[in-house]
Amino acid sequence: MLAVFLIALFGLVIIGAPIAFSLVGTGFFMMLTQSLSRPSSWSFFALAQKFVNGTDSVPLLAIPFFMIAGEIMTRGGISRRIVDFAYSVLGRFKGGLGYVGILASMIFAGVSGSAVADTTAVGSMMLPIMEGAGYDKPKSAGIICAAGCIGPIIPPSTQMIFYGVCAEVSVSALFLGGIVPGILIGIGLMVAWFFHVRKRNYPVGPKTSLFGIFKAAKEAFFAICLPAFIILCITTGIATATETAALAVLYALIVSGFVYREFKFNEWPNLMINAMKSTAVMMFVVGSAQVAAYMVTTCAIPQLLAKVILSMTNSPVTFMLLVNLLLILVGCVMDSGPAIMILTPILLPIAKGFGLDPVYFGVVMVANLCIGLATPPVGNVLYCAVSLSKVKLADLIKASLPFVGVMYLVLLGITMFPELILFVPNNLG
Amino acid sequence: MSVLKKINNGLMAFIKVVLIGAGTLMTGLVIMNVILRYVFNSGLSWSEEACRFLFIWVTFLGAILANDTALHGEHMRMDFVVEMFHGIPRKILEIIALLLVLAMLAILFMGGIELVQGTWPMLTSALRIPKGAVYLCAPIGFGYMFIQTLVKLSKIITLSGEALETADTEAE
Repeated sequence: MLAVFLIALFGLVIIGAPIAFSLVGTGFFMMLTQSLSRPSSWSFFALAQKFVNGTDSVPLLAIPFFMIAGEIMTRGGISRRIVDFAYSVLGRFKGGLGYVGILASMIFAGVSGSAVADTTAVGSMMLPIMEGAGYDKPKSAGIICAAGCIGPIIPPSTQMIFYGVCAEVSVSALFLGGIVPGILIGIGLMVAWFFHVRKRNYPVGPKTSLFGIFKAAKEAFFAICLPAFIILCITTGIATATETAALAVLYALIVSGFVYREFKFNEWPNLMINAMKSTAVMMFVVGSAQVAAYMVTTCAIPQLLAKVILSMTNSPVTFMLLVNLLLILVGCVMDSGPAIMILTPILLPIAKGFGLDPVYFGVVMVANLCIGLATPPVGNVLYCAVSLSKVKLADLIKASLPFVGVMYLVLLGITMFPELILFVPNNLG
Repeated sequence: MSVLKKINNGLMAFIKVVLIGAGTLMTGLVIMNVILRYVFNSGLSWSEEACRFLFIWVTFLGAILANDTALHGEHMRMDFVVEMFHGIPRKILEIIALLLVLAMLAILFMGGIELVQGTWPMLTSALRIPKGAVYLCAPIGFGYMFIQTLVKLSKIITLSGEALETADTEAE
């Protein structure tokens, strides 16, 4: 049955069928094989029902809300303010623009839940400036590309909402669990950038006085406050993740529309159509993943796989290393959203068997697959950085290799020390 | 053909209006519920249910809209393997993929009809509307996507290998 699952899924995906229908097809073929001799027990009804029930989810509603909030903030001129603030703090160092890009990406990660949105917002501002200052073009694109992957690791995060729904784990706890790993990856990237800068002749930016930093912080105040507002709502339990997301939309509307006055309200209809359409595309995969997950559970795939894994190892650490290796491979060829929805129902039961915390497992999984967004051949962030920087794909892959490597090193760190992830949700959540 | 195209365009425009309305309504309802809870210490029992139902409809109507643009639509797919092929093999692969998609859509459409029939007598707990009415979006969505995919299939069969490879970029 495991073979049917793998052949159907990969066969359909490889010939270019949409992911959603590949998943439905996988479920269908498993149903066929399971009861080949009894066509009367095939139930199209069950397939359609699982699909529709999969899309019937309030937690997932947070995804379009966070998407809209981020989009409003971006159109309201927030990226410029965040970059200005980051520049006032870190621009003074040699090769400072690289650090500015990383810090700006981290702050923007707290506003948006998507890696592509993060890369676009920061990259479209930073890359022309970096090129103008004589920075190595592929390296600049590489660091922006790597930093963009932090987007869904620091809350809010589309991918964590997916995992939370699949795993029936609190989205708020996952959000809190992502804070430390996200910051650690940011620091790791800054260290890697430091080693790149050391050998180069990059200009040193002007020193901004404390008053200048204060002024830039004041300008960016409402932008920096949004992540704090989101984390506050979640930790105090004032609102659920979905309600927090809706409040973030209200916050973004007020700040961009009335305080910064750069958001035009007649942009709302178009913004809404795009947000709803991209949400529908994601929800279609969510629904279809439920069809596949239903058959995966019915056919006891996790138990089959658990037996194979337990015959190899009974140490949770080795298991997590194997999972990470698998996810790196999957992350190369698959987008993070579908990967989470397909793999969570298969891997989580095994992880629970090893006594691992589902929040810890989820954050590792999300972080791993988000770094995978920067790896070829399938990497949304990678292609986003290519189109922003006009650098050749092959050059960008080569330039971003050390940065991606550093991110995987940090991932190894948080995998070995679960406390790094669990400390915040256990003490605040 | 042009009449059908006009009907299709009208339908897409209608879907867009529904998406704007539903999206705005969902945002408003969730915000209102938080405000009601903290300021007035009350809440609307039907608002969560309404949001869920709107969300299901948004999913299926949005999926139709996303399937409408360009040759392959905007639904997530992995195309880097297919793009390694050219000419006739490429065309055959694309046709096989679409035939499988058609089969899945037909199955889901039939299952969706059964689902609507089976749940019509049940009423939802807060809004007291037939559950089948909520699920009606499933056969509508799968059915319309089936028609869209048929049109795509006929286009792929008639297009030459070269035109097939540039079809998506030209449509943008």
